[in-house]
Amino acid sequence: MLRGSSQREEGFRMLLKQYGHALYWHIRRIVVGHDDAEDVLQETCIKVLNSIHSYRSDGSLATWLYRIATNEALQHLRRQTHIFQHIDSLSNALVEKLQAETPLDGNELEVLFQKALLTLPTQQRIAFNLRYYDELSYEEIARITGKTVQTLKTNYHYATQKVKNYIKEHTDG
Amino acid sequence: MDNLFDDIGKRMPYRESGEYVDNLIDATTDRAIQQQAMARRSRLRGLIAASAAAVAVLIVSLSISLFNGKSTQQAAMTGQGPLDEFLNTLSDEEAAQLTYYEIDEIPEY
Repeated sequence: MLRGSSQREEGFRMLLKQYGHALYWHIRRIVVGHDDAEDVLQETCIKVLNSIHSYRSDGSLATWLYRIATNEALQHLRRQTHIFQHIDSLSNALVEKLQAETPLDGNELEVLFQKALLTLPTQQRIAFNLRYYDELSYEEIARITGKTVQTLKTNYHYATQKVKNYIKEHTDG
Repeated sequence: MDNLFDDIGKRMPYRESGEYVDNLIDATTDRAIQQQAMARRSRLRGLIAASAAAVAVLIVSLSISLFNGKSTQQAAMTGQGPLDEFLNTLSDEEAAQLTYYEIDEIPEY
């Protein structure tokens, strides 16, 4: 369907119309900052456009798009780390970004929830987001992240507990 | 899906509205298409330049080899090279001397 150049562009536009929002928010939840999310979305679009001819219809299109977006977002985070530093160590910087990007009159519980998510290891956070916000199946998340379904179920369970505990600790007193 | 975090749901504490994100996506789409077209044009230009350079090198090297090959070949065929001219100036005696010249005959200086 997307062989010719103009057909490819048309298909690309349709794709972004359908999945653009989901991709933007998926990226935003990983990199937190809006400007970062915009850059990553741009890189994702270029990657999608350049490799759209190699997309094989045997897999889900959404999964393919999410995988590209996830990889680009992770690469973006890696570029922000120092040498030998793991991306999980960026959580404090991401919390600062979150605080800078939320309105002063924003909902405290929503901010707290996002802070709780930022305490999770990055891969666990991505899996949690894909399940909780995007409502993807474990099989789809497995195709995006390259993890097994069992690992993802365990991760989701632990992530949920950690987030609940964090919220409890920070609301009880 | 678990009934988690009912109070929060899927809301996030960010300012960007749906309309803003729509415009952002449109702009990003346009930029990506433009960037790809520019990259394609730049690749094409590079390919044309490289092809032109290769053709020019081929033409120059062919011309040089044709020119050189022709003059050497002509000289060999007509016997008009500098060595032939020298040999033609020798008498039969001198030519014979040249033929039977031995290394011992080099005079000492």
